[in-house]
Amino acid sequence: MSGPTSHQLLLSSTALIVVVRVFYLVRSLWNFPLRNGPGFFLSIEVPHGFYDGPGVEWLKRYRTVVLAEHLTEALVLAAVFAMDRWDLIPLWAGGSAVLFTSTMLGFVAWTRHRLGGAPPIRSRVAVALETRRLGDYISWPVEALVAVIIAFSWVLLLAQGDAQVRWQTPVVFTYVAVGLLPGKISVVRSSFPLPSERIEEHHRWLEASRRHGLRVMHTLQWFLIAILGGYALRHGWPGANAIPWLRWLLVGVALAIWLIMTVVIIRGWGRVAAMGRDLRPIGSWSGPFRPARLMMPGYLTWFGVWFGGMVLLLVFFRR
Amino acid sequence: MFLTVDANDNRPLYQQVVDGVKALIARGHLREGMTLPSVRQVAGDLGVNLNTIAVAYRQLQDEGFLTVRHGSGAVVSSRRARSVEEDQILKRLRTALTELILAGLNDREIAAAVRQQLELLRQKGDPR
Repeated sequence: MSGPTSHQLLLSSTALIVVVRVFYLVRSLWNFPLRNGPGFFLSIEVPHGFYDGPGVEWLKRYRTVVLAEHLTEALVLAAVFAMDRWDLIPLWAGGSAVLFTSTMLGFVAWTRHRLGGAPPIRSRVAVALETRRLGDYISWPVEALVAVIIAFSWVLLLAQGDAQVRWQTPVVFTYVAVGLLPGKISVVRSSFPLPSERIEEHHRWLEASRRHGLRVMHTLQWFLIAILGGYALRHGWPGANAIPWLRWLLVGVALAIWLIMTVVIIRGWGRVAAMGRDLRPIGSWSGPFRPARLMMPGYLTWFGVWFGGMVLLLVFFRR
Repeated sequence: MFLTVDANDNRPLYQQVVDGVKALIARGHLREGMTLPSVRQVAGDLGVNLNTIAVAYRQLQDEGFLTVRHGSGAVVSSRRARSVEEDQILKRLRTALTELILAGLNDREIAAAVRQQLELLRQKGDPR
């Protein structure tokens, strides 16, 4: 069995990404603003009958923005195909992630500005008297294993890396994978008061959201580690070229993890959305001691540094 | 189990936390040896100053309801281990009864109110 060419690998990966993105668009994104029921639009409390009036227009706006974003990605991909510039596929994937994230965050911010100027203030709030320890959410032996694989990959590349090593790949993947740990810590430490009605349900829902976010981060980390480790094996282990199917195996492992991650995202999102039906989402109300916030400042800071750093490395680190 | 605080309550926030924890202990929701979340976590969840919760925990510790251990946080103490003078408790009861009399309640109404509050306190359902 001969090994796949880079062309074949990129084509199969891209096809898979497109299929999953379309599925995610139809399954989750299309009705994302309605995930908390008809009383809310994107975590903003709306009056009764909103979806019989201005809500129709808002939903149309949201779907237009989401479709336009996906269409832009599709057009750029079509241009890459037409020009036969396969080397641009990784840039397209990175650019799509940046475009998608900034479009969604931008729309949420704009909607909150226009629709959610004064979230209701609730004088009575509750907190769960349960200790949140990092060790209950993050497995330190697994984190240590991740660190060992990263270190091993770097030792291979630095000691025996061939002439084809493009250092941007291991640098970016290491940065993104390592950077997920502070992100996980900030998710565990994110804290929000609970509304005083249906306390237990809100608490269970928030905990499920927290655990879902962490599971996505765990699987994303393993996806990145699989690519980094595979890259190090291919370019740092002299015996790699003698095994033609090794490349297929490495790609298969990475794609399998990516698929698992996709299933985790879509199924987990569905479960969390079902739990949160008719409950008050974070950011839709203000407590007596703090304003309505969608995200904690610590998480926002981490995301800005992590995401911004990734973009900077992709754009400026070209070795 | 949950602790509820209300910005419209006349009591200061730290006192609401103290009373809330005591009520949970009285109902048996918080048992001896159970660990409470850290001051930082409770303050973060509520969005209040660390000192507010620290003062509440200190008062609970002073009254013998909590034991603060290094590394393991605040642990609920044995109810029997508390050294609260009986006289002090009765003084508080007398103050509360005085308030009820001054509010115009007769003896039968006061007794009914006390019984009702006691039943509420013993209820296992709503932690409020």
